[in-house]
Amino acid sequence: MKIYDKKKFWSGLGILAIGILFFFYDLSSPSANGFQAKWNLILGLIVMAFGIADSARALSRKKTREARIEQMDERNQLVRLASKAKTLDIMQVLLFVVMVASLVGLKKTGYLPFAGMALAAGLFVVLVIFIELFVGMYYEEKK
Amino acid sequence: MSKHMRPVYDERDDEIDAHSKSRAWDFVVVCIEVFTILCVVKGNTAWIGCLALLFAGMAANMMYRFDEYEERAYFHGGLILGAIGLALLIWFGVCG
Repeated sequence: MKIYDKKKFWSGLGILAIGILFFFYDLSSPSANGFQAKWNLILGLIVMAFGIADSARALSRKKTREARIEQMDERNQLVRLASKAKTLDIMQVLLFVVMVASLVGLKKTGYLPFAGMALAAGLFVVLVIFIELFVGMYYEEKK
Repeated sequence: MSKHMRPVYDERDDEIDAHSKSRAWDFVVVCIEVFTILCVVKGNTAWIGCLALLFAGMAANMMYRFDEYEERAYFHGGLILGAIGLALLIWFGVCG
């Protein structure tokens, strides 16, 4: 058994490990109902399937070669770049909406997890602004 | 005129913009994943909301690729990922 793409192989194993964690470890509170336990099971199976598929592809010479050719294709690289840039734009708006909705939910219901979500979303909004600024400055200097 | 002064927003600025946003999104994904794991370890159910954001981001990515490649598989993938993200967000909103 030869590993043709070590990076993909190990990332696949990592994803498989996370799936196994979801599958066997109860992530919800001790008083979790049946639905949450079943959801963890399904999520664990899906994540494990992705991990196994990734690792299996890394063991196939043909699949690895196809993946490399696809990765090096200029149009694919351009689309990948543009899609990530658009995703960031959309996520900035979504994070702001989630932050506001969480704050409203916290105010109305008083549920503490809303506070965690509002804090996380607010943190990510600020983080995105700063990361975009610094990475933009880096590419300005580089180019 | 110094090399930093560019009066017109041109293709070079577009390219820098795209590169910086792409890298920034990579960093943000890592941060969200780390935060999700932290919430799981701490027992805070906010991990559901964080996971929903990741799925929403993946859905947006898929939709853009569908727009460029015009392949239905990307559209279906985007719909499924978006539905999962929305379901997670609603689950978090309703159950907490």
